[in-house]
Amino acid sequence: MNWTWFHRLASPPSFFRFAERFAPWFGGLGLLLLLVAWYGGLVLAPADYQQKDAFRIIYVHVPAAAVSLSLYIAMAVCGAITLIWRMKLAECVLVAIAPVGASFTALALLTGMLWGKPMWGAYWVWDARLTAELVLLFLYLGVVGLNGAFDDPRTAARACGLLAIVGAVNVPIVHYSVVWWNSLHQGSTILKFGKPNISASMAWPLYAGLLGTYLWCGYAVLRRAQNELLLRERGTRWVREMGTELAGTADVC
Amino acid sequence: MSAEFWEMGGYAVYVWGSFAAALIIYVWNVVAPRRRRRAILGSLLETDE
Repeated sequence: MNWTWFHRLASPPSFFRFAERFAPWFGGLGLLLLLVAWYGGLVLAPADYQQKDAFRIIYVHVPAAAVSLSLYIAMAVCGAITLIWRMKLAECVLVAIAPVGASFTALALLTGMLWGKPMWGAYWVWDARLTAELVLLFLYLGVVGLNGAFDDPRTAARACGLLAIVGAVNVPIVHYSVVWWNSLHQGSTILKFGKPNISASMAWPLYAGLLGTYLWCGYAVLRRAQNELLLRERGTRWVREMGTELAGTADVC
Repeated sequence: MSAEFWEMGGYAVYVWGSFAAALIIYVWNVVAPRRRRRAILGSLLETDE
């Protein structure tokens, strides 16, 4: 198999141009899907027979929780690549993911609390699923903090990579917590084998919201990785050229 | 939109609270890297000249 394309994409200037070209598509398609998903979830989907209109929180809670886990896996993979091959692009993506993941983990926790209060009668319980998700937030914040604690970005990225890999043990704990323990949290609605536990009229806005949120995160990670590349490669010719090229454009989207 | 829609069957605080929090997080994720890029590009041009 020919890996030339991979090595080419992994070089900082090529990746920068790739991100410059595709990030607007991620953002644009993501926005479109999210608008459709929120309209579908708030207006078109019927109220739940048990939870009434409170169930609509699912349309922000589930996508946030899903990306909080997926982004962590991606971050840990970047951590492994950083430690094994010392690849500069993986370092950039690793530190780019952490703040995005932290924000969506916080959103999953917050919307979960706002859903828990009317349904369970409490904003917070020290339940397996909730506690493990809180640990996930601390792991993300740990990576963000660790990255800021070193002057040398490459040393920082290796430390972050190690933390990301060690913390990855928490990911299956979050995912399977509702199966392994008697959790107050309800079981999986769609991310499971077999038939989904949701009717089509309620499901489609959720799928649109999931896809839209993944694209939205893709945009954020690409843009943040670009920023990291500009900072790490400052002084090189391609950054100088790119800098004048981008400064010429009135607005960067 | 009807008043019934905004009431969300009595769960207005929780439903709208969740969507408002989501809106803030989604917007921040796009705005923050863009502001940072502008700052980086500004500093790159400064060091050049």
